[in-house]
Amino acid sequence: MRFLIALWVLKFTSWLISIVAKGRGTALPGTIALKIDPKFVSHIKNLDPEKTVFVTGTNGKSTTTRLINHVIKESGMKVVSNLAGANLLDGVSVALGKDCTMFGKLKSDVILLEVDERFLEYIIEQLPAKKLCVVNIQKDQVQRNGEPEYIRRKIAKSVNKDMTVFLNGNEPNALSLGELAGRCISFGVEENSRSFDKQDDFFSVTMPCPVCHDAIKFNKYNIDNVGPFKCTGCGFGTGDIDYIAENIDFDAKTFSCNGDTYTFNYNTPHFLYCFIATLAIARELGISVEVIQKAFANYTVKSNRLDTVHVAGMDIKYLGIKQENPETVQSAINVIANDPNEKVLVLGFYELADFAPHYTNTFYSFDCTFLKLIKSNISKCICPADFVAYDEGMRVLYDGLGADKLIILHTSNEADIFNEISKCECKNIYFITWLHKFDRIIQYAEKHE
Amino acid sequence: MNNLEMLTEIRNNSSRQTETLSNLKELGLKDAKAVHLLWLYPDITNIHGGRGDIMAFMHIANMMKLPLEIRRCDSLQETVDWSWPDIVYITAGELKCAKEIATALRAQMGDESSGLLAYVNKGGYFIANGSSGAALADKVYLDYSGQKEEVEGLGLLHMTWKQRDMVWGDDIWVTTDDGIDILGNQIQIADVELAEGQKAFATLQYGRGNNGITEDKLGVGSSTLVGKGSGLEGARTGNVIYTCVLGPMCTKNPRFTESILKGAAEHAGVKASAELKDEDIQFENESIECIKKFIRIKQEDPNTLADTLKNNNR
Repeated sequence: MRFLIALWVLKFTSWLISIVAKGRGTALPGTIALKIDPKFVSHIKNLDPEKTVFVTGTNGKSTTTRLINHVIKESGMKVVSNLAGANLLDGVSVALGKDCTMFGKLKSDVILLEVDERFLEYIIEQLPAKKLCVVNIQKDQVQRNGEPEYIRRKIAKSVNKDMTVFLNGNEPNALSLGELAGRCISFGVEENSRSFDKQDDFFSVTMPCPVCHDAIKFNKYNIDNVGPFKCTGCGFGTGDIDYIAENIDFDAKTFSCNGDTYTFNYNTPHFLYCFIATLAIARELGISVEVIQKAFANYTVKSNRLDTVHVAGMDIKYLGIKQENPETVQSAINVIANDPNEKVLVLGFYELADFAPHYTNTFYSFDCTFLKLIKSNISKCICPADFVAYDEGMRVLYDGLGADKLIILHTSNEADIFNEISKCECKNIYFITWLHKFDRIIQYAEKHE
Repeated sequence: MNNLEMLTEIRNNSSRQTETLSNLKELGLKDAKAVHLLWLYPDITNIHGGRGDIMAFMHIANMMKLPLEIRRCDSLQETVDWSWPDIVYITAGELKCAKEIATALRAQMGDESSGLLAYVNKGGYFIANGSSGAALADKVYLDYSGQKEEVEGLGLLHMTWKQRDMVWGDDIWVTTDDGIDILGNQIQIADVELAEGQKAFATLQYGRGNNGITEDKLGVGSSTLVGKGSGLEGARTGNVIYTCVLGPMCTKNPRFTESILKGAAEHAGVKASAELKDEDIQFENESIECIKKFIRIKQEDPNTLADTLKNNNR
């Protein structure tokens, strides 16, 4: 009875919030339901662990989850997901609760959930998924996670021999979880025209092996710290990959896998990993190649990583980053460095205010390299922030930007930033910053155009 | 105004395969004696922007017109030539690597006349930053989500490390015995206790330091600092240093970097041809003032700070 009360309260509060504030309420009703029934999720009827897929890791789990969701729907199966991104136990409760009948029976055929890596163990305790996808385990939100091993061990606690894991075979930390699972299916991307090495920099570093802690050697990087690899100590490495994206053509936006050709509409290496992970999971769910091909071709990414806005005579291009996440910064840098045209770069790392205590971390930018970007025809680099503008500026000076090209802007105010970019003769503007900061600047620009 | 052109030139003329990165040519010197910096195990100590510390040594040496040569030691299996360096630096790495680093170096400890022990006894600098510092401790108690392990450190600094369940992340401001203010960040996944008689690296002005007392709460946010603990940061015996200040510490605190280079120059019998001027480090000095201001507001008027930063929230 406690479960049913929790369910009805969840459904009622979700409905109420959807009237008052559309698009909100992805977590709060779940928080309330879990207060009434702490084991709310485990009490849902019709849960099938075999048809439950969790997607976790540090970078790309939202995009991958959305893409898998799209493919499953295209196959005709019913799927429940937490696409709004609420990936803790309360968000999961809301997604599942809303999919239940009034008597607590789940309606969907497949459960597909994006799960926060730190909370995986608590969610899996209530919903023992038999399929787990780990997109990667990289440096992320160090204020909470400290170091990648901290995240890897959190995820490892939930991997067991009853489970099939889908692992990024090009990312050492993720791949190392394979030995803990009953079955391991790996996915990866072969060397391609966007692959790179770091041989031109004395200061370049790789990463420690998750197995023996000696140095990993990457043959090439497809994304920073992601690519075919082998440990120089124990030999742990990429090996044979079950689903590998080959014959990658970024211009034609196609790749092939096991002899079949697929379209990927969003032609960056980061997205390619989302597509190949999806392909692996979809095939293992029994979805045909033809359905997947069609679904990939008609998929529109609702991405928060890539955007272009034409405003006030400028092409303003947004490359999203996750805060305190050097791999996403490096991906953004690499995309911009591929544009040979003259450009203005706005580098907005800002102070971090998501959690207490607020602090001034910009050190993760030193895990990235700006060398190629700085040689790619930057006419100005604007560094805005209330307190860390000089730190942002120092980072690009250290990688060779001429001091005459640097503009330190002691503010995070949208008007001041927009006015500064408006003064630049070059109208090809790139932003590396957080999505909501970019959105606010664009909103200001459109209002004052 | 800061000028990093010489560093850029040196980098442009080098690659990952370069055996020795040197500023001799750029300083117009030939076959001059140089300060030697050995960057130990850079591939496995790859977090928190630590490599920026090594870049900073080259940049500040350039400004001081101090000949500097940097070499990497990438392999844990490589035997170090301890007669070469004046500074050995281990950048910030993951705590998990402390065991392998300690094991690799213990095999090279040597005695009073040779090896690592002789190197540090003769005044060579040995600096470990962030969690890499655990390798220098007496003991490290690892506890990754209940998976416990006791690790023997090198015992170069008499301290114990006990891994925390919750990570601590914040700004940090410390002052050394020489009166140098050092500002940066701290990402701490262990409590550090100094043994009786072990000197700290610096005194805490703001932040958690070695063992500040926190209230840990599992959830989306991090912990809250409720006490300074010992009020100390890091550990130092002679020129063996552990500090948790990140930033990277040496890029953000050029006066500290200068002090290490001066000490190492003395060790090497080399002289800098110029003083580091304030105009050489204008950006760094401005940054230090900004961060001090940030910390003061955070301490004295957190609501104002929260208001200023409200647009930074996701």
